[in-house]
Amino acid sequence: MNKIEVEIKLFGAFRKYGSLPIRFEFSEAKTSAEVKAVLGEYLQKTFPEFDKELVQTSVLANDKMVLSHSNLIEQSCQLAVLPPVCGG
Amino acid sequence: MIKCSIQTTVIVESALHSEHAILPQCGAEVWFFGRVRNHNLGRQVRSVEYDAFGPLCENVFREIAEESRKWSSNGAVTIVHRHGLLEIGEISVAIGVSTPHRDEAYKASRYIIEQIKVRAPIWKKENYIDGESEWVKGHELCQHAHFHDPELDLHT
Repeated sequence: MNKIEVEIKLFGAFRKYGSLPIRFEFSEAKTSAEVKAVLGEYLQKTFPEFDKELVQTSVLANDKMVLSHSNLIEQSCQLAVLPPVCGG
Repeated sequence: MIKCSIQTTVIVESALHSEHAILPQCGAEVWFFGRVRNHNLGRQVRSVEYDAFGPLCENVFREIAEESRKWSSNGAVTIVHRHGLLEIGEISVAIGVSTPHRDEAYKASRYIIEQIKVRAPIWKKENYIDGESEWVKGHELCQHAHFHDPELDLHT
């Protein structure tokens, strides 16, 4: 099976943990919730001070829309992790 | 007519006014400007930095502008938000609405800013005069984040 490469851009409070996107590789399709969980585990392992609530309160999105938890990611793609927003 | 954008350059009021559509059927034009203020929750702010996910931002602005057609269907909407480093007093967001009558213009304008605050992928970091900085806590996004204000009699 082809690898699924997911690149996640960091925004807002996530910028504390790097300016470059974080890349993950999966051997099978994952839901948005599963990908978000993998991101959370990676950040917690890499940054001891990381507050896991930040991932819990964030969502994944592509250029066009916020992904639901059950959205299936079946192909390599670029996503963004969006913490709680405060524009305006 | 709808114009939406997110930019890093300074928002210039005169340019906004000259680019906003003037329609003969519209007798009301309302502008809202959000500016950086020097205080928040008891702390003195030196400057702010806005972060934004540009492509999705423009889609969300356009979506919100389309929804505001409930009041501005025969008019014009302009939404511009700036990101990057902003100093005190600078404009962070500008919303212009033209409608035939003033009631719709005020309602559309209010709807748009309230929706931007809870739906646009934009984040604000405040830089305080004591040297500290903090990302402002915001509103969690979900797939269908819409704002319900009974006073505006809107439910989406």
